[in-house]
Amino acid sequence: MSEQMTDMPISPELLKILRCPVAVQSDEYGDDPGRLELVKGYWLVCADSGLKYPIRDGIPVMLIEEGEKWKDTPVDELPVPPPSD
Amino acid sequence: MTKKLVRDQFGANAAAYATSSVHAKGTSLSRLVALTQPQAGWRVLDVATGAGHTALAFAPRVAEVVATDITPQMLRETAVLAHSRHITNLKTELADAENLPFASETFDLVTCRIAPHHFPGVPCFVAEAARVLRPGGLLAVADNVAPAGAAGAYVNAFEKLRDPGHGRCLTVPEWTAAYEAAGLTVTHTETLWKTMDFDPWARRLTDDAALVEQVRAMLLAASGEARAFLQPENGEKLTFRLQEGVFIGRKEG
Repeated sequence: MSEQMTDMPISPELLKILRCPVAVQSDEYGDDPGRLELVKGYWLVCADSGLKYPIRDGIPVMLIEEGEKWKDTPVDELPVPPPSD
Repeated sequence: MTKKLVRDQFGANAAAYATSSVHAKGTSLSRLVALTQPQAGWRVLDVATGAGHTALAFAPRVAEVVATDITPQMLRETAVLAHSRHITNLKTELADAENLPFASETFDLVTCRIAPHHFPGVPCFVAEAARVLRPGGLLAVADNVAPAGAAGAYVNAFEKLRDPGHGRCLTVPEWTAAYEAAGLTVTHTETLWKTMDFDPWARRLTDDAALVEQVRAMLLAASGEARAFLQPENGEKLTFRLQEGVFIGRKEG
């Protein structure tokens, strides 16, 4: 395991298969909807739906209600680390 | 509301589930492993993992297990148990069983054990499981089942009195119908009886003595088909039985 990987708050393998649970159901966003980008080391942001999911204690919180809570927060204003529940 | 209730209740009782023998060692766990014959290269999803007993049973046999739950405290128990068993190929995340946050056709096997009776929408969960399975992949569920009709209503009411987070145990035909509606071919169904010790079962979720007595009274008052199903026996200690259904289905293609 490289240094870089141990520093990752989420494993690259998990990031590859994780999707936004809202956008993944849609046929508006092409063949592979709901892809997520790791932002600021603690957030998974879906460009398709605009939903943003925090990673708390190393665990991605992929609940729709949580993603919606941060939808209108601009990416550069997302708190780091995410506040606890 | 129901999900919040389930989350609060499991959050408060996470450690009790980590040590519960029904959840850690139940027969249905070894049946799930035997019936699915997990392969070394598989990626497995365990939905509503609780303290992770099912995920932990599969992890040493496959490439990777992702375990989900809606309760962070339960996932912390899972991580603690994984660490103590030197298991490193298990990842956890908070996710809703009816809205799985995964790309379609991602998993070789989806498991879910002793949990769907908490879900508001079992058919939604089964459809989501089918979506994330690759063609040829398996859905393997073990969950408490109820008899049809009034007896089933009594058994569900009895369980709900003890656990307000209890949704509903489906009947066996309801389960197979949910699989078929999601495009899964049911390849195996079986039912297992499990004998429950009333006191530890009733007290796992509450220390309200009055509530425990109400649940006890409801068990002892069962009549007809409900009594034949629950078979309360009041010997040295009070026991009764519950039935678990095991359902294996394959995604064709």
